[in-house]
Amino acid sequence: MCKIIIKDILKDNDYPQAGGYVFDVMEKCIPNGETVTLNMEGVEVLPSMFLNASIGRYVEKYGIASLKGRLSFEKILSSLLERIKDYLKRIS
Amino acid sequence: MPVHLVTLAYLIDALKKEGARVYIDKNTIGSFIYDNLHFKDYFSENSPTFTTAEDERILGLWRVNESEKDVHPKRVQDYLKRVFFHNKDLSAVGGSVTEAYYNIFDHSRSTNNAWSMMKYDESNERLSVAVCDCGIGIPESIRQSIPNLTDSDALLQALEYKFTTQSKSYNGGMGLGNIKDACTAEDYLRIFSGWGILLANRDKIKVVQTPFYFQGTLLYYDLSLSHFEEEEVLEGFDFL
Repeated sequence: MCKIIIKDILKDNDYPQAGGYVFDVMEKCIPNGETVTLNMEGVEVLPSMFLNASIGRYVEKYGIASLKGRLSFEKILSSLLERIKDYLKRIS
Repeated sequence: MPVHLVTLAYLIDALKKEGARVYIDKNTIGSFIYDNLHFKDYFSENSPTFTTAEDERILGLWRVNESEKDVHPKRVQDYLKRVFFHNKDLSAVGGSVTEAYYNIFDHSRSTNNAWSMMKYDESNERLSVAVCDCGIGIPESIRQSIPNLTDSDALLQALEYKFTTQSKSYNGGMGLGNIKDACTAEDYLRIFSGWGILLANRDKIKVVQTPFYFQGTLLYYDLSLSHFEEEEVLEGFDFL
């Protein structure tokens, strides 16, 4: 399992860079059958620049079905989870 | 009020760059602007990018700059939580201002004449946000992908969820659309840019061609925060 603590990534990176990092990890892990967990503790904002560079780019390349059972979140604000669900609906 | 003050800051900065000397009459509302909002500090050498307003209802004027584009939204949320809310989930506010600031750096090619300010009115629980820049404007940016659009139609296009000018690789659209999504039916979003105005809330969008030209983009919106809920953190969620 690959786990990313998003707050740590955002300390030294802006949203597009952090999204790019998440994409790289997803691309490395998910096609090999591993799961990716995004720890969202302390994250209060998920703008489109982050989502486009991470999940959006992955879905564009591999399709939304490839995420099923392979992507999970922990310690996430309910509003951010709704935002991600809404985002996935719009891009798929 | 924030919309007027960011526009005033934009005008003063533009005039000073042309070599004009600008005076504020302190006998009128100028005293509030000059002293309370610290306008006197922003237009000199080594000027600060942000000062705290004396009036607690106002988050002071911020000279928008790229190195603080992720810092200021955090400042906004901290201010609202510290002064008015303690455990409310304000992610929609932080998200909307982040989208507005990135929009300046990704599309406008603005020089450093860009400003933001916000005010929270406790009596009606409404937050007013204003952002202004002197860049190429949204219509011009959109026409780099779709030539021949009028300014008002270009503003409409900018809110399309999947539309992007691809000015940056991470621009997949949805930025300005997310600001609109933060609005309820009672809230509003206004964007002035070039010869167009866009007026929107959650359910409606209208564009109008204007008889005057605005160099850059003036974006402001007014949100009711009364319906914002307490923060709820979910321990785990799997996509099934």
